[in-house]
Amino acid sequence: MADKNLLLVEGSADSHVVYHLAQHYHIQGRFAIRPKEGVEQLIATLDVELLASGLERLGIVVDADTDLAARWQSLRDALIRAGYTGLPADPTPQGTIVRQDGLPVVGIWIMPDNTLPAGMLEHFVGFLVPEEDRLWGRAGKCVEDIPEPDRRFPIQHQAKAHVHTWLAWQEEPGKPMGQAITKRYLDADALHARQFVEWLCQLFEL
Amino acid sequence: METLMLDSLVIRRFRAFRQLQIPRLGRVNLITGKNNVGKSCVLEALWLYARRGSPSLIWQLLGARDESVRPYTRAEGDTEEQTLAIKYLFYGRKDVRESFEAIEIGSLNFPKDLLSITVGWYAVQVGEGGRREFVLLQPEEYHTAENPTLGLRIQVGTQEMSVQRLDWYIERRLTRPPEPKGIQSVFVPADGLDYSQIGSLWDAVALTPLEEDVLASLRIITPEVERVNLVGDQDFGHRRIPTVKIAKQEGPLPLRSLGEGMNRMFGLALALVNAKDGLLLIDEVESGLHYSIQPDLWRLIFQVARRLNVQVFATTHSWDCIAAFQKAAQEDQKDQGLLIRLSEKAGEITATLFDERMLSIATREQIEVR
Repeated sequence: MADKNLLLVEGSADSHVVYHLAQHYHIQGRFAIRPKEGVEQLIATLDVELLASGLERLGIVVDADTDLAARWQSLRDALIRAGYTGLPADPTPQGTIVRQDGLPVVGIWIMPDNTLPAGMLEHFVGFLVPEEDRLWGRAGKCVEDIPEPDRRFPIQHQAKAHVHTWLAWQEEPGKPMGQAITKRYLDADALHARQFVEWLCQLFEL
Repeated sequence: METLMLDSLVIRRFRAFRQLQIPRLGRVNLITGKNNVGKSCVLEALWLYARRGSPSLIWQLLGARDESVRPYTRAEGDTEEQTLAIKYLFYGRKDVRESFEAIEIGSLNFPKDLLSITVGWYAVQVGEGGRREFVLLQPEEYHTAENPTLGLRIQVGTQEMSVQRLDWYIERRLTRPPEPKGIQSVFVPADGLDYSQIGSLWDAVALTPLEEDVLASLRIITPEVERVNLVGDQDFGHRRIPTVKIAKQEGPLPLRSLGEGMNRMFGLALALVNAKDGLLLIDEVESGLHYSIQPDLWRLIFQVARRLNVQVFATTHSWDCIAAFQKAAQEDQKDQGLLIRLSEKAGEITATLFDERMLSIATREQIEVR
């Protein structure tokens, strides 16, 4: 069925994190979350998504990856092609929201916080680790200390390895990031989580 | 893409549309949208455009919606009565005696060739040799003119097609103005064509190679169909009945005995091949057809429309029909298919277009296009 409020995310990990955060803030169910198969596909199908019948507000959550400016530019170009004119030159730190007469309201959140020049969902999750947590630093050091020949992941995925290492050391080892919110391993009331939820509420008028 | 009859469409002040703009059109266009957004009005507008605003078509369209109100009073000069029916054509059913705004229909890119329909005030003057002439009055003149009369004025660009007096109700019905030469067009209503329409469409293609296309359409539903013909004596009020010969069956069978779908298919195929070099307009294309055969119907339409240079406009509110159209459009890959969704926002009806690329994304990503 047609969704009035729709959030497009890069993949299922993102969709689970958002789902559990929304649950914590009692806004789950007020918008649909649709995982895509990566950021390229998300951008390539954006013009058609915006034409879905009955759609009023569309949110987009993507990673900055290695180049925030380039990611912003490609989103900006896609939205300009779809008829949006009032896009800022840079992403808004509190999350961008664009309104255009006759078109759905569009919100953009670039992980982790719309400002770091590089980063991804796992950096955002890292911000939700309680400050006093003693394992976080240890897990990070562990990952860092892996000698180059033994490291199987590309260096830009170090944050991923860090988060998942840390998750492996929790009471129930290996819970996915989303569930770690509900299990309260992660702090859903951390500043970054609050900012993200604030953006969701503004965008979807919750 | 080769040239189309209409590359784009603008409809102004006609029925549900204050102004509807469709910046591009495909060869095969499927129009969707909720009830009451004016899907059928688009077909009516296109038909009027093709027939160059034919007055007999105007009255036929009004009659089909029970809008051809007869004046009950014969009070001379009751201009409100005279314009009761024609008001239905105009956006917002305005008082056409005062507004003078024209209905306009045509290509967005050729604003000088629009069909326009207006109601105007005329003065009757006796010219040379006692002939009566109608002279169009300017808005500031008709209040002071002696016995002004209302007329329905039809133009294509600056060329005047006809003026019909609205006070001569009886005469209007008795005298049939000559049909203007327009674009070939065939309209298939939701409840199908009647026997006499079927008869004349059949006669136009019988014993020509186009018969094969009609047979191909029937074989989509019943592969065993070998031949088709119309049987009966059309004089004395008898109907000619579409009749088919089925493989391994002795005698001919009435087409209808094979189901209502066969009858609908026959009508659609006849309309399609008769719309050569013109427009085919189909209201509620899915009506009477099981969803499983709809992809084949669309394949046939895509293929024949291209070969015979037909531009097709069909309406639907069926999800199955859109899915079938998407499937055929995707296979076609010649960028002929266009889905047009009409929707209402703040009292204004707008069109959203999905070409074949967008349709395939929508199918894959399950994006709601209806």
